[in-house]
Amino acid sequence: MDFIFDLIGRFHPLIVHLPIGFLLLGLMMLVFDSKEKKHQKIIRFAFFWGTFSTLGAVITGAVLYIREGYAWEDIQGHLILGVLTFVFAFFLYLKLKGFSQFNKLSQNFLGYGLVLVLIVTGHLGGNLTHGKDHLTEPLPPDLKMALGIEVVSKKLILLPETHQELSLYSGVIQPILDQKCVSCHNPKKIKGGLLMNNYKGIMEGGEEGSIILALNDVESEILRRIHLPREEKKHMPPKAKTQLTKAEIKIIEQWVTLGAPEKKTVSELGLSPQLFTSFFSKDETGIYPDIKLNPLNNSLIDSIKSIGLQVAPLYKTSPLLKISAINVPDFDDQKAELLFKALDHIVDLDLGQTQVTDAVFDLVKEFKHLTVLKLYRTSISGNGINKLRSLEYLKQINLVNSNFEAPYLEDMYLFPALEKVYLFGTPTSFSTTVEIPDQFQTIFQMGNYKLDEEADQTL
Amino acid sequence: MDKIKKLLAEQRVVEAQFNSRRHFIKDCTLGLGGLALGSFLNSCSSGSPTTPAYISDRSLNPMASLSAPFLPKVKSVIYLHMVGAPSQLELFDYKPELAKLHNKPCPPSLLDSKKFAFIQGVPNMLGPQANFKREGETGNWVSNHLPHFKKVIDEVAFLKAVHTDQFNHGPAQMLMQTGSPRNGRPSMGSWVTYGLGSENNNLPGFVVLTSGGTPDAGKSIWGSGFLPSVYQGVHCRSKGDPVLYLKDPKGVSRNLKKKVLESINDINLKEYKKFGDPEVLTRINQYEMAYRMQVSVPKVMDIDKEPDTIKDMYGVKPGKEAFANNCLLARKMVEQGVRFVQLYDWGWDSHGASPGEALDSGFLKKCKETDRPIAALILDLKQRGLLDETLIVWGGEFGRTPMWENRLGIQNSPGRDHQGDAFTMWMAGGGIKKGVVHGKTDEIGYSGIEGRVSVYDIQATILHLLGFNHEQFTYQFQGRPFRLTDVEGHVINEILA
Repeated sequence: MDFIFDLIGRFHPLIVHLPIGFLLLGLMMLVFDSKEKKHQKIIRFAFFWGTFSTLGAVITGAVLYIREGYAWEDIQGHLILGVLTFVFAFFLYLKLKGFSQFNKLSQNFLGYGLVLVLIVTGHLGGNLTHGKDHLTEPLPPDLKMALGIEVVSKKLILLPETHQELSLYSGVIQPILDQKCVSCHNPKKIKGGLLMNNYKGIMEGGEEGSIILALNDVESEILRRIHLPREEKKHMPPKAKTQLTKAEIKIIEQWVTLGAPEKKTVSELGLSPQLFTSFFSKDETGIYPDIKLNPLNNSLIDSIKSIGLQVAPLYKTSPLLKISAINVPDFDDQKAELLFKALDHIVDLDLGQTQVTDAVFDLVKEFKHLTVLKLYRTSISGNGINKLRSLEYLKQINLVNSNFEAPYLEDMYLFPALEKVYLFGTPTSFSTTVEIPDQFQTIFQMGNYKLDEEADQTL
Repeated sequence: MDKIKKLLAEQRVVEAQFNSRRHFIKDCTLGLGGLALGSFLNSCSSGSPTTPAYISDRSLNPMASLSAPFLPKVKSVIYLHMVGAPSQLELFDYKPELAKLHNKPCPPSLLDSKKFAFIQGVPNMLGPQANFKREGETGNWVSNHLPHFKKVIDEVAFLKAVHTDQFNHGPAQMLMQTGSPRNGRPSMGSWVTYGLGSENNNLPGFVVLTSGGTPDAGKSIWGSGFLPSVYQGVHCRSKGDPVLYLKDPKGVSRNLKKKVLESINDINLKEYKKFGDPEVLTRINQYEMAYRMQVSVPKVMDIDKEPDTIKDMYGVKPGKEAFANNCLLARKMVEQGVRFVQLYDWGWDSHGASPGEALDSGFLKKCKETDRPIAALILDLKQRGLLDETLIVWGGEFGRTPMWENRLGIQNSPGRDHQGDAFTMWMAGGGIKKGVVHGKTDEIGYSGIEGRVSVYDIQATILHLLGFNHEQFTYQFQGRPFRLTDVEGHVINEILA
């Protein structure tokens, strides 16, 4: 007959809603009727049933606590305040009934106290079933920060260098389960009798038995559930929760197929690196500086665009700008002043095939995040290029088919981040007197590549 | 009379359907856009220097340049498609074991449950019809048919175990270029221009250059499928007029042409305002583009003005239709901001049934025609600083058998049949790990045994390098989102830098 108790306990979530409704209604009527005192009888009726149902909720709650393995630390607040709710409700009822013993207790104290304990008890109960972050979780990250709630990155991030040495289970699988499964399968809330917060729990399985059949990935319940259509009731994670990604599913499949080993590392198991690449943190800015800037406002961008320049973020969500004058052949030093509006944001500037002259360096030197500068097919001679030495991110300069002259080459030896300078088709590249120090040989690309004419004969 | 009444009733029903809520919403919003477009166009014709919003606004100009969702490694693609499927066994996939089996009957185990286009019964094996050598610092294999390629071999990443499930040219080319062996899907270049637009307002974003003939799959392999037709490839010819019907007819001045276009666009705009059909916008844009292209295309297509050293390097044949010319044009286009340049070189179908198709004659001619221009293209892009921002893809639509084709039971000149289980492709340029070899075939080059990659993997990788996640880059059509790679494809991280 034990099951009766289980059943009683499980009625708790139903019954708890009754006192909340009854008592709140009673309290509202108390306020409503405070002047005329015409409905005292019906108010007492509400508090009678409110008190009675609170008792029911406390009893079923206590049974649930005892039978279902909740930890005392987790439910103590809810339980104590639940009992307190009963006390407040009962006292208020008795006071309304006119028991003189309660004269000392003011009705206001009982009323406000009841409101308070009722709400807090309800909230704590909600935390137990829906999780502590139930209300804060949907808030936008900015608001969370403002409220002082820690925003944890929900993604598993592995390092390409070290992931091979991680244990597949503890380094990869468990973190995935922690994010996507453990909120319902933990010691506090053991949905389906299944624990997924540790290896033992996963191996033991749940009410319906084992979830992992080693070497038989297709039949394993964990994979069967994952692969069920999202609409199916048994699909896991439930359709309203964050789903597993394809890469996560793949890696879980692999793990199950390999017999769900606990200790073996990724390299011992000989898994293909391809399985893990989607967990590596993305290199989002590439050669460009990894800096945080507020995006330039749209009207400024539009005003730069108005003369025909292509102005676009490096990628959709980047504040950094790539600007090209490819559609503005008459672009010149004067028009270049327009670029001043975006001086912090420009990282890639293509002024090739335009009318700009050496005077443009005075402007360009202000673009402190500039990484790529293209001046091909211009009349640039290089006079003044030394002004760019303050640009700490400048990595590539394209001077192909410009008039760049050899004497200015050494001005660039001082540039802090320089990686490539393309000089094909410039007077410099044809000059025979240029001697570039060894350490800069790979930076300055003169081009003039030739194919082996004799090779044709071999055919 | 009854019938007429019925007809009138039907007309009323159709009209009523036209004025649905959906149509009202669509008509009104797009109509406003159209009104705006009208005033922008006016400002354009007055010769004002400011760029009208219709150039940069996607809702008004379908070719307006857009940023990719992720940081792109390259901004342009040059795709060198060797139509007919070159033999990997004579170019890159060196199989000394196969030489030992030369002219011996094929073991039946290799023929079980295999389908071939032409091989019948039990064919003989055909040893490599080339000498191989390790070249470059990486020491990767290349055959003596590609003497210039060794100069750039360290720049490329080889995929030695590409596979496809199509073994006839048309469907295999469709699969390679559109992600489906059947008609109706947009080509890769269309997807890319749809996603990124065109940087240069005066040139198409997706240019197709052919040599040797039209690919077997026809012009639909550069079609736009269900994407708006503005994203289809523009076929430029290297002989005669670059683009057909672009020249003004005799007696029509450029000024008159402009006036005619303005009037037509006016009428089209009215149509657009009334029905909001994006195809009308496409048409307006195509006319505008054609007008601008009349000047810009002949300029970019004119290879005569290139210095002689460059012309010699590519080995161009001025005034002729040649792959070498197309390679030089590809560089010029990329330099001018064209997004996707697709080269098709026809004539690689080396069955051995005729001299033109034989590995010891026609095939050698194709090698000679393409070897120098490809090496030149890579070096030329490199010296201009363009190789870092361009992706070059080389490959056919499938590979060729290690067996000697025996069409109708007759063994002709050395030749090989179609085979999709393993073939070689390579990529070079921005974001590519130089000199890497990914994938391995068995000892006779019949199947991939390591690092097999599918056609979809190639497409996923190309999109990845352009800044797209191929699984998220979709287009809603017939009630479901479509993507280039459909439900397949993994980025080939092994060849990425």
